[in-house]
Amino acid sequence: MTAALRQLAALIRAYIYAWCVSWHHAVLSIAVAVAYLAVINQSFVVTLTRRVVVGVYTKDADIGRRIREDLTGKGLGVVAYDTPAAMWAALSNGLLAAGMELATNTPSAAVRFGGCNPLMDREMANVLLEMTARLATHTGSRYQLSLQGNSYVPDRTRAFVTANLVPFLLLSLVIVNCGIVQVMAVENKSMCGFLLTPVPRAVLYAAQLGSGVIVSLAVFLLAYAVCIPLAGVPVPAAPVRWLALCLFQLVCTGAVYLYIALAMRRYIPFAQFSIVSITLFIFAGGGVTPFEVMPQWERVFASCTPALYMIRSMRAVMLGTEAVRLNDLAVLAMWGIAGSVLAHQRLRRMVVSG
Amino acid sequence: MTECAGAVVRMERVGKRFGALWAVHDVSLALAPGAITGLLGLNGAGKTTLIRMCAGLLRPDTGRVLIAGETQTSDNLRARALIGVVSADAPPLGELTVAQLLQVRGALYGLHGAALAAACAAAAEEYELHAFLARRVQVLSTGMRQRVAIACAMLHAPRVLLLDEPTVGLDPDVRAHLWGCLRALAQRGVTLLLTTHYLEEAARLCDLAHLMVHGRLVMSISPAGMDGSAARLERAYFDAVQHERIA
Repeated sequence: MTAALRQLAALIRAYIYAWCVSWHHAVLSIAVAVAYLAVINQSFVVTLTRRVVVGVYTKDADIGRRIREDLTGKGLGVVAYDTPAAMWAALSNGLLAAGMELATNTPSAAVRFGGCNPLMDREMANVLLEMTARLATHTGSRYQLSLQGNSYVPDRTRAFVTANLVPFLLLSLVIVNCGIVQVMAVENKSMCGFLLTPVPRAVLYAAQLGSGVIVSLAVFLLAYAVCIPLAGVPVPAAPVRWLALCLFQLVCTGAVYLYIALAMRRYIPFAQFSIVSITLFIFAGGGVTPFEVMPQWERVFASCTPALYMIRSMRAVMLGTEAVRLNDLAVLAMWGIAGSVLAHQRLRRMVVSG
Repeated sequence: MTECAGAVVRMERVGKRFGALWAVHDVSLALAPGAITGLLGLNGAGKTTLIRMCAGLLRPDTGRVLIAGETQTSDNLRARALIGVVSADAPPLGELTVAQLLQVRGALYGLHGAALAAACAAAAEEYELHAFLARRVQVLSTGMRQRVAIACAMLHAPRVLLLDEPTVGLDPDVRAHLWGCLRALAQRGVTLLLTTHYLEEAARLCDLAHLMVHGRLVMSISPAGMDGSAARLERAYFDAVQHERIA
């Protein structure tokens, strides 16, 4: 028993020593752990901010002032409108997250949501409900409250959550099929076998990316098809556009992770980087916390990740509430082009430096 | 520099440095068509580095390598098409079957259709792979994998075959078979450059063996001039190594 414990201690000591000797692994581990805790801790809670603007229309100046104070106190931005039409127009143009109209003759409030983000709608519904209750207490009237366009309903939420999850499934698949496969090819040297052949590096790169993307897309489509009857994931309303977007996202992110794999060339740091990066993207890419309510530093971080643009474009196609922003696609394309150029250069360096 | 008219492989004052260490320094060699040339030396002498530069896996810091007049660079695909490489640096893809591997390799070298089928059939015949064509490379024995590697390297009929320790870990029977394969290639005019730690192999197989010490070629030995005697080659080898160590 004692001998076994000694052996165990010796082995553990050896493993820890090996870990410490690879100091760059240790530094990377600590850095990503800090990033993980710091970012995700900040990202987990949906806190409404002044960037979330609610429109208010009422003819009663006192009530209008009280509402503005209430909403501002909750951290929301407030804009008062002279006519309901102007407010509803601003809502439909995406300038407002919600609009609230208080009737002149009867104690009733009509709240209409933008409906783009169920998580934000849920938080706003809480705030507006609480505010209406206080208003009713203050005026001594029974307020009739009507809600419209709240996207926090099962079907919309399911579509929204699916649209949030699909990009991360795509990312996971390209990490495996474009990233880990290539890291292993470098580690077991089978990559050199291809580099020795008279195949142009552009062809070799395209083959690596293409095979990874094809495998990823096939796995994704099969999984999605199975989940439609099994888990009730929504059937895409525009399947061709949806499929094209999935393919586009796979190609762009595949190029990035292929480059990272070729740059890192070792399984352990690549796996560690990939796992942490995808977790960071989940929380800081707008998947959990709406972009609109993020603190400034997190908005900057989110803008620098491909996840934000993947999620936003996927939501646009799957929810159909807004058009896909060309900017989002352009940013993703730039990520893909940068990844491709760097990966191609990396392949070249692998030939000449061994 | 070893002079040789009509040399297929020509190394001109080739050098490679890793940090402050010259792994290969000022090496010049010329290999004639159909010649089998061996590189001998202790571990770390620079043999593998030299082979890697010939294969195009490493860029020389000084000098250049010419394959049939083509400078071996990272962009010269013509030079790559002229060589075949058997090395632990470039193992065949283990997940494929032998038949699939031959097909892929042939396609990468521009073979297709009937020519590809004929090349694969000829390779299977020559290296006795018929019984293993449907088996995955990763489940084959070391000797069989090495035969597959040579078959792959020779599929496109290159003019030069580079082999980095081709018989390491093989039993004498398989080694003798591989020697026979390599001699047959040389007789067909293929130029072979190989590294080995087995002096017997150099004595039996090579037309000329070069001894490398600290990245330099210090001695060239013709095993034929020693009647192919491994013992005499061994004596010359250790004398030279000892002399260089003292120097």
